[in-house]
Amino acid sequence: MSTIKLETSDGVKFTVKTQVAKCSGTIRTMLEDIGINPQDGEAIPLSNVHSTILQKILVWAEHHVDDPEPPRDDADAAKRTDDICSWDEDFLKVDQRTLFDVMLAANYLDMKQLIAVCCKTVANMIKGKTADQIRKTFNIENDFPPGDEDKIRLRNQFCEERR
Amino acid sequence: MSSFEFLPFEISCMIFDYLSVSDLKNASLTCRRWCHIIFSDSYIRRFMLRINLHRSDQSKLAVVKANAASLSSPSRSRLPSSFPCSLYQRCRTAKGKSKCELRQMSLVLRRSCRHYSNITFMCDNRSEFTDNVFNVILNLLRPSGLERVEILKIILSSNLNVLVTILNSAIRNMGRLKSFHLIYDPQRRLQCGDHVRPCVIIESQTITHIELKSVIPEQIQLPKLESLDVSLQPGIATLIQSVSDSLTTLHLHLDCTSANCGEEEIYSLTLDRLKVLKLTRGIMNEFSFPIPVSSNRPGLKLRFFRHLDRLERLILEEKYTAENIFLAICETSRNLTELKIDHLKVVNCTVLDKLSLLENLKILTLPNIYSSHEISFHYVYLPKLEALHLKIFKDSTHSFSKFVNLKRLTIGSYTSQTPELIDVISMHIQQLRELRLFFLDYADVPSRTFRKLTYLGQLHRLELVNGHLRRSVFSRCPPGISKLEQIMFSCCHLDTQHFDGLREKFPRLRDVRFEKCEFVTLMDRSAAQQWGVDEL
Repeated sequence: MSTIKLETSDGVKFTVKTQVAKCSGTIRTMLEDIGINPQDGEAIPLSNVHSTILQKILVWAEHHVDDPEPPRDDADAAKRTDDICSWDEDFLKVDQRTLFDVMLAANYLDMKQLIAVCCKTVANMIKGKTADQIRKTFNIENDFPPGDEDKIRLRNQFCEERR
Repeated sequence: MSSFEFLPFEISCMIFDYLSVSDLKNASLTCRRWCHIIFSDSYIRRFMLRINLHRSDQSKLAVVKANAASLSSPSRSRLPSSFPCSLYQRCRTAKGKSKCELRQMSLVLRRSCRHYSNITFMCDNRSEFTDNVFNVILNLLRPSGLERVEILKIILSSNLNVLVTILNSAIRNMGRLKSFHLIYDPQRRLQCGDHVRPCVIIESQTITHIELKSVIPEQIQLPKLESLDVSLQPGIATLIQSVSDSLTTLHLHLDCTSANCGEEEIYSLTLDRLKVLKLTRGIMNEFSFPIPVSSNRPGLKLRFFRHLDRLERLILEEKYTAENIFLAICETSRNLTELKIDHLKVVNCTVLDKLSLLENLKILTLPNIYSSHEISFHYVYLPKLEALHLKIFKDSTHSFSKFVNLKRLTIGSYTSQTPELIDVISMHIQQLRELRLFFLDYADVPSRTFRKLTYLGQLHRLELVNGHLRRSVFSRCPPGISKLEQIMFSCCHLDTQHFDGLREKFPRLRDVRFEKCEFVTLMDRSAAQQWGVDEL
């Protein structure tokens, strides 16, 4: 089993199975298209990812390494958020800051499945809440000038007219 | 600071994609940033105006896609934008519902001033509105600006004459429509192999470009039509004839399999206004030798080409182009700037000299010239030529020294001839920016091949195809002031990814690519050659 080395922003080196590392589109491109030779023993620098986050992402990648290719997005299919598998659900039971960092890193590493599952988790946190509750959940400040909120409400009326 | 407030735009969009309309509405009220994202022009692109009139999901008989890329106009209404997905949601619920549902939808659309960039419309034979479906849609979309549509693309998967007829009346009313595409689903076409001829008259004062795939309308009345993109099929000639007065661009797909598919009828036309003519074919095996098609009336084709005196671009991907046609092109189409003939058959070798008549030629592509005699470009003089694609001929390396202004060169060559060829190119074609080299045999590429490559001071890109290269292949390049930025190896047999001295020789090199390459430890030279001979 071939391995490659990855180096995080804080200088920690990880030795990873090539197959697991290839869950990341970014690393896959580096290996396959640009032709970086992993046998050189040189670590691939991941300057945007901290070691704690990479550690977490690698756990996820290790678990999902044998997953089949997801089906192509069907435009007709509604976006579901209730299909997160229980392992992922447990995996993402972390504080918001970590979840946020995992999303950013997954985005940088181009791991579509991981981003999707994170997005679903966040969407579930938004669902069924009022604007006030959403703000509370994510600790967001209401930065609308007074009156603007009503304007948007008016704009949104089209939705409300639906019974 | 890490917080969801500061998530990048695209990730925020992905999250919002999972929300329902009412949740999205609440999200838009949360903070200014989220509101901004949800109402942004790029986010609305994620919404498709979907109008579904299917009676049942199984019977997806017709799909009309109105991809109106230019739908959004710069003179946008100042009213506040309506919520994008209300529409989406509503249209989804229109599935199999009654008229009143559609009326409500139209109300929403009227009050909305969003300009949808993507509209998909579905219906089938059994939908309630099939017979006047396009009128319904047109009425729906009028306020949001279907009149502004400039490009309309319709893909049909079943023969819906009614729909097409109504569509026709709608096109007449689209005041800005420039480009119209009507495509009969190619997958289905493969199954039945026939062409649809719906009783439709396409009439518009504004259309300048039209694409018809496997569909021939009964009649077209398009006074401004300049460009026609059709597949070759019986009866197409009459159609072309009817628009020949204004037509300047003709693109014919020769993918018809039957023997008589109207090719001769095309040649009986006189299209003397044409500036661009393309006869193209689908993907064909490069190695399959062309089978000449004998025509009963060869004079017809010749006469056709004798009339094309305004032609500027000519692409001929026929199975084979005869010498007399080539001659007619050279003598008639003096304004040509681009000429491509995929398979040219030559008997009298001096005929190639006639290329010099095309003084304005900038791009010349003659990848396959078949001749029993030796071919030479010795007397060809093309001062404006910038791009050339050729296969090398025996002892003809020196004829390349004349194309001094070439910027792009694609050349097929035998390994034994390449060193001399590169020498000639390096000495004479100083402006060359792109060089693609096809090796026509399977021999080891000797390192002396590239000994003068660095003399080409302007060369930015080098592509080597089908070569057997060793790691030392560039070792004899003298270090120079090379501007080479990209080297691409396609279908090559290599023993390494790291060539000796590549960095020193080409200091500007940024990109080395390998495509469909095989990495092999090359056998010793004699064995490799032995193998090469067997392969040939």
